Amino acid sequence: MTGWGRPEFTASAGTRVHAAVLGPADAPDLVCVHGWGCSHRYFGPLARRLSGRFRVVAVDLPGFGSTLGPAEPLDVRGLSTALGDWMRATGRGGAALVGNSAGCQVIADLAVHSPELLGPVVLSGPSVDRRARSYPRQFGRILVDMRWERVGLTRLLVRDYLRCGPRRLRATARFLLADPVERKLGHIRTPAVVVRGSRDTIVPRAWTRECTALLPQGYSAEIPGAGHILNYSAPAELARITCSLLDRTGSEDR
Amino acid sequence: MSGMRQHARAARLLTDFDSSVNMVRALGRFLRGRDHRAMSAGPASPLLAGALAALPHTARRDLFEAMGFLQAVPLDRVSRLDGDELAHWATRQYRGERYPAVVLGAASGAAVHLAAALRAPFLPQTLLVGARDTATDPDDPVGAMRAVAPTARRIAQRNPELAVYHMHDPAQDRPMLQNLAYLRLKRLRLGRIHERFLEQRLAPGAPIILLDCTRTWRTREVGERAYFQFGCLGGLPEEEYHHSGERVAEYLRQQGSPWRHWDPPEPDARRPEAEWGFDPALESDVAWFAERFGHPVHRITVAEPQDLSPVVADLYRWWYRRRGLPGDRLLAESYVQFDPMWALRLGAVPFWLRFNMEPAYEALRDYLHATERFRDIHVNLFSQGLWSPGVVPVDRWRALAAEQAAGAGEVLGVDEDAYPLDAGSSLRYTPAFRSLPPRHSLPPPLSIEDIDEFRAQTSTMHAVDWS
Repeated sequence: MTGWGRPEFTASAGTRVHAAVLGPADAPDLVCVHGWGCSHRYFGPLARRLSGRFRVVAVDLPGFGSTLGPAEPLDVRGLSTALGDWMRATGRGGAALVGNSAGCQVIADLAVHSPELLGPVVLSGPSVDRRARSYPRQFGRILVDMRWERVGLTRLLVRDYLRCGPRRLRATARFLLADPVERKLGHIRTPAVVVRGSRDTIVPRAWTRECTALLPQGYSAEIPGAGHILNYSAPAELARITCSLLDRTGSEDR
Repeated sequence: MSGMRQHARAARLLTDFDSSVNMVRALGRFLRGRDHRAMSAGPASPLLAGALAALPHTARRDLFEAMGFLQAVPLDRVSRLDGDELAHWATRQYRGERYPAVVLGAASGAAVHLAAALRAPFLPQTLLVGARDTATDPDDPVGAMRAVAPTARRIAQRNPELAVYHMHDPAQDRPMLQNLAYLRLKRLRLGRIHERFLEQRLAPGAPIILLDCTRTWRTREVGERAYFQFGCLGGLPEEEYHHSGERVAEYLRQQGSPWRHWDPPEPDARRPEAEWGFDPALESDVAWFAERFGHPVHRITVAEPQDLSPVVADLYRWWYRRRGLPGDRLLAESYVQFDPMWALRLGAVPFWLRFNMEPAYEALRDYLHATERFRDIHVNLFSQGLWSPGVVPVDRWRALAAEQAAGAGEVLGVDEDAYPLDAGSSLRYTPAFRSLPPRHSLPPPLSIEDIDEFRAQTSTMHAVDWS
């Protein structure tokens, strides 16, 4: 029913990290990093489209999805350290990374302290727009965006949010809003693509343009008619863009 | 809510009279446009100060001891402390959006004025936590070491980012030692809280000023990253703590101690001095952070904490003159009774005295001899609650000020009869500074380039290494 393969559990980052896996064992790894309050679950549609070519691994960061987190919610550095620990523990250093929304912040922070772990990077809907770092603006934008998302996403997200709990959600939101991601993007030295849905209200075009300009090897792509959660609502197009990035870099031969 | 509770909890762990705590509080408040009255721990009141100073001798002595008791934290709480709580406390004192610079490292009252000039926050390497300890005798250092070592080890074990120094000084901290053990925690790693603060709140390209004080002291290891230090910088030379002679015997007799000399544990190495010394272990993290985020690092190295005072005083004088102010009023502040806001509002040149002891007196004397004459000289003195060996009496301070000032030289905000048991001292210094005449508006901040310009223009040799 979930559409994923056998789950993977790894002792790392001071907890038992859960990752959902889909794709042949001998295919190159592609690591998905979820956004605020989410989990591996909303990567399902994208994973199904990519699983012919990759072994898609969607990790639950500590405190989210099926990975237990510490009592004190982690800040961005805490999350990226956990991601790094887990990548090392599973031997996935250098794998391609796909982040959605706040997942992009975690990847950018990982690049600051552990750049060697990064393969090619897909930043889909990178948050948080520098000009709108406040709760009312973000929540307003999220509400408007839900119009452009596929049916079923709301139910899935609500389940993830409940699982993560209001306290962690609030604390994580505070850390994400304060995170100066624009100071970190320059550390992603691997090839990277910034993707946005043309109707994404959370991530305006001016912001993705700014992000792209900060990436040493970055370019941008836009998916017409799509909103913020491209991995769920526009998986085919995002899969195409991901493949074309990896074709360019030839990272499959790794 | 939980944030505020957490904040109050961390503040409760720290000690109100600690040098670093006061630096952080003074600057946090200065950057919000406020002064450092009563060590930022309560309201200032000359009236209450007068009443406290008028109490009989024994009552005042008891008051100092009671202060120590109130500042002490129960042992079980201390051994559970988390270094991040303390880091969090420090960063939360600064509420600004973007700072043009940051000062980081060793404690120094002169650095408060340097940071204030730059509008920079200060992040301390060392913080003091007072553990409740009523059982040990101040003059029995071995007993004190043994009693506190398990706690020191426990903290070090739980906090791999910290080194723990149990500092025991029966000469200067005697009344406090009746009830508390001094645990000075030195940060060896920048840590995620400080990193996050710098990432988010330091303006792009803003300089990081690393304050390095190379002063060391003989210490004894009691566990991994846990040390015991007997004595500290003050009126007695280090040697006298370890091989005490007639002066210490006389002091112990006066204090009614059954001991006639001190017998500290055999030291095994020289390590950074517990309160003022800088442990260079922190440096690599700072360099790493600066490199990753594109901040230049400026390093100021001094051999003694006091060495920064002349250069900061000269910087202020130069700055005032550039603004067309006379800069002919010197305000000598002692220990934590500094006020960056009032120094600037008065147009006064701040000269920080590390304490009220002979070495501080000599530093002020040497500075006044070497520099261009000031018209007015005001000296304020901290009271530690007893006549420690080496305390310089008020009349000598006054004589120095009077003799060196072209106009008036005086001791300011000190109850001369009560000193150095002037229990109202901390409530009095800010009102005393405030009572001085001129008023100026706060100037725009200096930049690091301004400081370079000052250094290029000044011909005075300062015992400070900038790089």
